[in-house]
Amino acid sequence: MSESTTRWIGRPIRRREDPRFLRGQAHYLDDIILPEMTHMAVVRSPVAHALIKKIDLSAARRHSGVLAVVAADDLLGTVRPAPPNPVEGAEITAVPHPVLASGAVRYVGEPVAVVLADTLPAAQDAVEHVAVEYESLPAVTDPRLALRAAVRLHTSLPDNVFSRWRRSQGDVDGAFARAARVVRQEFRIPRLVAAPIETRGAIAAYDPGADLLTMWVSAQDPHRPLSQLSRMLGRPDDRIRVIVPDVGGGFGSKGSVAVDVAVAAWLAIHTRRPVKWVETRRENLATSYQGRGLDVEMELALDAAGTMLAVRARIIADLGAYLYPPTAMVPVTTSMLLTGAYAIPNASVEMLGVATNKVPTGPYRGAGRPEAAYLVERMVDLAARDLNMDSVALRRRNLIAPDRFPYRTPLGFTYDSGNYGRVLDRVCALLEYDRWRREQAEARRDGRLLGIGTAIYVERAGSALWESAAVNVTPAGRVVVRMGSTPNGQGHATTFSQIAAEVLQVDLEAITVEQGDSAIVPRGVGTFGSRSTTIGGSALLRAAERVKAKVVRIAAHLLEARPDDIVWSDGRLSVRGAPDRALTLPEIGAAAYQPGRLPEDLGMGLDAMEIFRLPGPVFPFGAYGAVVEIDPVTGEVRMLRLVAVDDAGRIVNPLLAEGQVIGGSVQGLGEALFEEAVYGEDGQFLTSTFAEYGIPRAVQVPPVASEFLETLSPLNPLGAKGIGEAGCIATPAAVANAVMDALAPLGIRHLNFPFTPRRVWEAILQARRIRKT
Amino acid sequence: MDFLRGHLELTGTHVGCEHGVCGACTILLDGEPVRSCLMFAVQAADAEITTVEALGTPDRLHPVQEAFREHHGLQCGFCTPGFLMTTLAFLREHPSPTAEEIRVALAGHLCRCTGYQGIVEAVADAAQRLKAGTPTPALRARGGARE
Repeated sequence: MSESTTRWIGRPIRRREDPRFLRGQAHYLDDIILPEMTHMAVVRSPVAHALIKKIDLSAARRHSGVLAVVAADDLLGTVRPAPPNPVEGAEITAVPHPVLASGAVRYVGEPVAVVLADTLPAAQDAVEHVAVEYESLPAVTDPRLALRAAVRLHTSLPDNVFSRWRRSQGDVDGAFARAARVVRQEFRIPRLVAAPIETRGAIAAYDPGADLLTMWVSAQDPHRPLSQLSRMLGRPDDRIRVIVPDVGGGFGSKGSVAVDVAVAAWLAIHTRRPVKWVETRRENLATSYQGRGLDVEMELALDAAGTMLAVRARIIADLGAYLYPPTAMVPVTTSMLLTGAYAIPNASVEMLGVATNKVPTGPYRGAGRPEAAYLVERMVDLAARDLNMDSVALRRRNLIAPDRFPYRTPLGFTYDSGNYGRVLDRVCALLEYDRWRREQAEARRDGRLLGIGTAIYVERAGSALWESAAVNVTPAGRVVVRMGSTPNGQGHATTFSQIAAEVLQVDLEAITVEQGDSAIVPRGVGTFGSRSTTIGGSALLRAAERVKAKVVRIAAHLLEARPDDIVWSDGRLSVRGAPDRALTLPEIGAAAYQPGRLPEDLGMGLDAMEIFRLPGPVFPFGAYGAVVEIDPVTGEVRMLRLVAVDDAGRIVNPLLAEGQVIGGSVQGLGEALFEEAVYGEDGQFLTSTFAEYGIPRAVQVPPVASEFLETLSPLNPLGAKGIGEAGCIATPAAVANAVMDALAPLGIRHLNFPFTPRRVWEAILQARRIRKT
Repeated sequence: MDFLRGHLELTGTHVGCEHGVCGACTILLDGEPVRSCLMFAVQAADAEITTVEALGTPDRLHPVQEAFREHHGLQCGFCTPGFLMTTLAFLREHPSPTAEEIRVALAGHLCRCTGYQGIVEAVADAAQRLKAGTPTPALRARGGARE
């Protein structure tokens, strides 16, 4: 499709789904009430590491309103843990998250037992009456200590290592030996919590006559929960229906079902009553899988002129106590992106995924890519500092040139298309880089701490390389689109309507988008890894094109013309040269369901289902810029400017794409400035309310300026690449570079996230002390 | 909040944290924004309660709702009803707010999707819309009774 002819694609259409959200008419999980519904509450471990000596359920079972109290023994052989997903190139020792703890607990918040009662208060009260006797074991929360195996978590892991991944290409040692300059830095990237404002939850209902388990799950799609539950419960996948209602944010954390959901399903089957489970905010922060959590040693070799020769890295990933299905994947993504946007020929990365007494990690918006962008871009800024070069000039010197795509990186990815210099130039213009540098020189003369940071990112999008879409034109001429992926706020109903409207030339109001119900939508994958538009949108485009071809054939038949002579414009299908002989889509829709009105060789109906298979991942990229000023007295980082230039190929709806970028950027700002999931040395979780785990507030964030450039992907018919995570990926890196640039005059070389006032203030204090002595 | 959601089945008001930080459960009590998760139903005796369900009419969004749609001030929509209620009260007292005043006014609400920018723009625009005298559908007080 060419740019000039699009009517719907590329327009900032206001969201079709908004009115019901604005009126309070949306249906989130907790809004669903079924007759006879019961409520489940979870007994969780209060300690980080202990043997379970005894569980006494009797008092809880006697509690008023209680219907069932269940521990691991009750589920033995009927509910099995979900196994970890394999990861290409990684050796993994599969230690899945237990359904309920058996024999031992290994993190604070681990589910030990559940209570089912008529009301939620009764279930919560009875939780207090489950008596569990623990025998404390020493806990390990620092992955570097865990590697020394001072405390062992699992007998199958003598060294506490769940997973290993290693890749090396080129003459890395040689490049380091002949390098004029080697930059070394250690980084700690703290754990974060996705923290959607709607916590996780599920409702399970069982129909014994049909032997059908219906699950409503606050999830990112129906299909992954369905196949996980099918495996965990040993139920055939056609005897489970999963419905994803409106979802109040996911950000990766609702991609894999919580073990609690499987227990709720089991209880619904056994008690023949619907079961609702909705976690509290405390449970969400403590037990939803967390993101990030890496310790990294990184080295970059450069020649005297600033050409990058090689990178070397060792990553220790703090994976927590067990492996959820996607846990092991995330740090491998980081590992594979450690050459960033640069033409670095030699690279060697070793990654160890380590067990600690914490909740497991998993994908959180960005899922491995923010870590990589931060590591690479910090190294570039450190190199610029050591070489006394401007960091933008150093970047420009080393970017992969636009004529080198597809570009195979030494760590194993093939970048599909890119023009990295263009986004860098644009971000410098948008940021007014040169002006800020002049202002900074002046500020520094006055002793003010003004910092400017830029960062380039390249990310892998479009994971799990297929998605489905079905298009149906009803006898009334309505267009029904059924998508395999599911929204959690992204605006799919609008974006996908625009794609269908583009092909079928109808108004958006003529289109219904159905999603999130495994009984309605074709088997698909889901919403994660910035993939829905690229893959789902391409499937939809293909399906709509097939329906369009059939519409044209029916029109030709009815108008007694050749299909080539049918002109479809302004919603009317007419014969070339005879605009009076015309039909509308509703007329053709009606004919499609009347056998006598169709050509003999044409099947009935107007339906198409397409599965689009992406030949390989796509690689969105962009450049961000940040300007900060630090208050030397309080250590507070004040954001003066944050600009984003993203190139995610074709943008279907720039308004929604910008919404993704700005929202993601503010999440990224949260990572840089405020957020950290904190554990005490004893493994107690210390940030278990929104008072302690600080996600950004309106007063703390600046306006973000967002722009798009479009370098189309050759790998899909839309030319799209995915924009859902961009802001979250690039912002931490740009802000880190700005903050460290601001602190450079004090001789401060490195601080870890988050740059809280206290951390920055202490660093300033210490730097001044060193200067005095 | 349990009373509103459970007994009155007014599920437009959402529970985000149940410890008074996120603001998702904000309603108006005699016109003042309050966190419904931190109060008992009995505390609302003789008071007028306004929830998101009272905004607009079946065929027309309230100007504040329209502004949120126009400026992409919502994504997942879960925090949105709380923002709307605070915005209503805020604009009544500050008909011409600056962007900075809006950000301060909304500081008691958490949104994880939008980065607040669309919301801030929506509130500024809503102020204009309200001043321009866009016919504002009257708030229908629901004060505990089910309609």
